[in-house]
Amino acid sequence: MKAGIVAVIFAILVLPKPVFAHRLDEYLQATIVSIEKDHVAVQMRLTPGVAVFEKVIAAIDTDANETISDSEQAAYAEQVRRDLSLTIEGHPSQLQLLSSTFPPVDQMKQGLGDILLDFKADVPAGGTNRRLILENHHQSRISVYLVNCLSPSDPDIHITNQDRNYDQSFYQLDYTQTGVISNSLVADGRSGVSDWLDKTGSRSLFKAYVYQGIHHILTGYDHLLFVSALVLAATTLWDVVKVVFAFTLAHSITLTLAALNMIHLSERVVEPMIAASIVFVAIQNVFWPRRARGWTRLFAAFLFGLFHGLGFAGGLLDAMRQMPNATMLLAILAFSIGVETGHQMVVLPLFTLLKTARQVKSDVVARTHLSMAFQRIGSAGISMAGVYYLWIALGCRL
Amino acid sequence: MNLQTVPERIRSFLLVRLFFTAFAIGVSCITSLASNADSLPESATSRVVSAANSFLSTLSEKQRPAVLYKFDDDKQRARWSNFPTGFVPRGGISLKDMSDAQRSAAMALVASALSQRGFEKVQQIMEGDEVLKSQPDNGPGGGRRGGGPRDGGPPDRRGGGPGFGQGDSMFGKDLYYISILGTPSEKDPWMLQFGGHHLALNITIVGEHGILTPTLTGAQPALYTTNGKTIRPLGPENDKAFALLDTLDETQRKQAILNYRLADLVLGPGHDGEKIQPEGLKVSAMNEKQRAMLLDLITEWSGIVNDSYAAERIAEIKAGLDDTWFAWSGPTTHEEGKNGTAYYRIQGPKLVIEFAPQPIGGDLTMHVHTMYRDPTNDYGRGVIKK
Repeated sequence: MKAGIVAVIFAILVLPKPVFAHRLDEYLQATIVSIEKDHVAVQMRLTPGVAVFEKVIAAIDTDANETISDSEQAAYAEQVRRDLSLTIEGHPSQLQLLSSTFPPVDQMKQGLGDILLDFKADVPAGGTNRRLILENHHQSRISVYLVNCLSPSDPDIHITNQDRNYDQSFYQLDYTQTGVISNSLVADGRSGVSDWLDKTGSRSLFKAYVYQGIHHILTGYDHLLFVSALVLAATTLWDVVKVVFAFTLAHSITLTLAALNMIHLSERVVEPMIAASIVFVAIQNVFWPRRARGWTRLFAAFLFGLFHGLGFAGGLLDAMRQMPNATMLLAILAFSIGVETGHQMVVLPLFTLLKTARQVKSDVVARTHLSMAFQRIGSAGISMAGVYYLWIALGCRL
Repeated sequence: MNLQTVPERIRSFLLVRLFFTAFAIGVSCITSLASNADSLPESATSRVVSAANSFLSTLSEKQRPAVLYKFDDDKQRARWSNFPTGFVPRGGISLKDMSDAQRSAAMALVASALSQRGFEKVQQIMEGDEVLKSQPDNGPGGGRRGGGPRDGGPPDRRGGGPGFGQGDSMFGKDLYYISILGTPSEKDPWMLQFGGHHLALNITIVGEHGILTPTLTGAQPALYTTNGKTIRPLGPENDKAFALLDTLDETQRKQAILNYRLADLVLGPGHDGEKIQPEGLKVSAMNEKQRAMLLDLITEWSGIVNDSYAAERIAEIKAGLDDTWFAWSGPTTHEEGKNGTAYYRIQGPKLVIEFAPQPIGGDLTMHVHTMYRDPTNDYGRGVIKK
């Protein structure tokens, strides 16, 4: 029988132009991930091609008696399990084998048999934003991988992003899980809004998107540079509040319209405009410092804020678009609050620092010079960073 | 003329003539009405039912039970594959095992459920298998990909026939099988299956609804010449997709083109009812021209069935168009007149289409599998529930 297999493989390799109907030389491993609130299910369908059958069966039928005993099935499932790596929230997670089905050896020999393995892992209690990473290194030299996630049937679970390497042996899944009410909140006295949030199961979603907004700003250096340039020109807290509000209002408007699919602007326009906004306000700070306050500045903050709103994470927008309208508006509100909070986390310490530094000199004239020096030197640095971003943004077009 | 002046005999003669003329006109009117009634437009389902009954009437007492299954036979329902029938035996009987008259009636039944273009596509896929059969390098062996029913083959109801390693040819246009689940009816649900290598038509008929999902089409060779004519069975599925991709701007392409390799169908045989998380470019971010091109591409599958069934289907696809996604993996150009080597997927609330070039044969442009599904209504389950 082995001679037959060898003959087939020989024929495949030696024939000048093989035209047989189906792939022979790979071990297809198709994985479907399914997310529930308290666990994740991982179903694997493994299909060895004829040319790799010998290699695969050698790892399964260890006593080479052409039947796959229960203990051999269990041992092979364990082998696969060990070659998988699952982490949830950065912590290694233990996959448990739920069931396994092996086809008859004869079918596998024909390249027809599917080995089905069902695994499950518990999802630990935790935050609303979850990240799952599944890596598959089983028989990597002969395998092709497919990995996908079923659309969650639980309305409280939303997939926000999927990421894979080229051969799909690495899979990262980001999702939010709402509808989990924190015990501490239940114990608290709550306002009407709070009650409503809990009743609609949206409190966790709200928190998740506030977090996403903060995260987005604190890791979005282009937004931070723009806001810092705005703050450098502000001499009073009232100036800061006004420009940051104008900026937040503008980007909230365009973010909402983009999520509702009412506007769409190419990245080829948005990215250079964001970079140009940094250069513009920074240069204004250096050369026309007086115009860097007042209505001109508010107008610039608002106008450029419209473009910054269109530059927010595409994956997040896609996730929002899959939500019902009311939920989506809540997510946008929460995201905007997060963005605003993120801004204040940078703006307030920066402004306080500048204010303190400006007061070092007792002489009023010297103080004014010092303040202008901070504004010009800081803005010059920001403008150079802005030019770099602009170069990158325009470079993408070449 | 004054009748009073006409002689009595002539007057009687004229009256009798008048009577017979009136009678003849009356009869011809009634006949005409009756014949008009006969030519009133038949419903799509009544035509298919009539063709099914005609086909069944051509079968012998031995053959008929081999074609008919119970409507609730879920094993037979799922017994389809991209594999040659020599590897994954189908239920029903093959064209090879039929007389000329039976074969004509079987193909007439298939044609009655399909549009002209759909039937042509099916014939081109079958003819392609005949071309594959004639290629000298086709030896016996095994396959790997795609899959079929997990429960093995159907019970051998024909007392023999193609099986594993029986030495039968694996390819050819006569190795396509027909089966019927339930009783052909204009009211009650029933199902027509027709398939073989690279073809699995699963048509569930429920009253005036005709549901084509799940259906698999494929082609190898994806380009061949017959009677001096160049044929590409699934050429429009390739060309229209590339044309759509060409219209996408940079932002849209970034979303549509996935950064990973897709080596095969994700929702091929054995994945009934599964709904995966969509990826790629959402149609709501497409302009009107792009949306029209996408719909035109989708009709390559939705329009396989006859116009009456297809109209209902395209209406529901249009209704969910804003929530439909277009994803691409692989090269973005192709040689004109040939298929490309890229995978693509169109996924909406009630739609999954996959187009997956296959490497077997050594040339991805010459071998492709496609899948057409409605995860909410595969085998008409959604309609039957209602």
